[in-house]
Amino acid sequence: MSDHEHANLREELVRWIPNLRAFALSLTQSAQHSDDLVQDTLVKALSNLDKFQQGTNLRAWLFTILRNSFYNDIRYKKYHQTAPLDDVDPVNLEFRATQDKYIEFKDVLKGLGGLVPEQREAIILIAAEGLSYEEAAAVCNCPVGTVKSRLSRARQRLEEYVNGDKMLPERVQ
Amino acid sequence: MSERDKSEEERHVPAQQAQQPQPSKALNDHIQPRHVDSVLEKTGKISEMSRKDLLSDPGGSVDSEPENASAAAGAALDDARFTAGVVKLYEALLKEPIPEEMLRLIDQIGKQERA
Repeated sequence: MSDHEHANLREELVRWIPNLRAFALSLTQSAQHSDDLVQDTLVKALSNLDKFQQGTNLRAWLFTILRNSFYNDIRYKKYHQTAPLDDVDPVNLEFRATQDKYIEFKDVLKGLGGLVPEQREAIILIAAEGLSYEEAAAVCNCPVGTVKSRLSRARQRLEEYVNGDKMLPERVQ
Repeated sequence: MSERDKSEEERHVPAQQAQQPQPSKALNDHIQPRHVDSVLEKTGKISEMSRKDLLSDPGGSVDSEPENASAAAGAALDDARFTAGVVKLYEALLKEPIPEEMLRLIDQIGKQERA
């Protein structure tokens, strides 16, 4: 890959940072953790730019790196038990900036917080990022049917939440 | 219909059809703020709405339908509203400035590569 191509990719990568941050926040539910995750993703992506296949989807590639890092973090934490997995506990929602800034989204945040990360990512990737089921499945490294069923379960839980039915936050498995 | 049928995104989705979130185009150029806004304008805060509010919507024919049909319509509305809320939240997150340290990091790695 030429220097020029590298520079172009870096520029394009910068353009996706807001999306990476939003995706990371939706996964981690923690401002600090999400920015650490994005930084980690940027370092990995920049270190492996040569492995990126030109003409393929850079956003999906970046999201895949971020997602893998996130689940590796979770597995590490779970294995080492160094800290409780409270980053995904809706009670501990810790959003960047001030809470006031996102107060209008309180309901949405709370609803999302009650989903397991796999369900949150399905909603975010498809409804917010606008990925197709196939693209989302590629990012999540799972079959299309799995993405659809996660989305369906997420919608079901959100519906229960909106309707005021009892909703117990699920923990990361 | 294709999952990404753009024409589907550009019109108001009736509640019954909105059960399956229609993938919007990716957000940078893609969110359809007017659509999202119009959904939210009608809805307000979802948790503040009563079940009755949710069922008595648009179209007005819900009352005359069997109860299970009304429930289905209500669920579809819930879903559409929540999805709109998620999209709007995401849109707000995307507007946040990129932290300087991230830009510095990219710059630094680029310089190291060139060195």
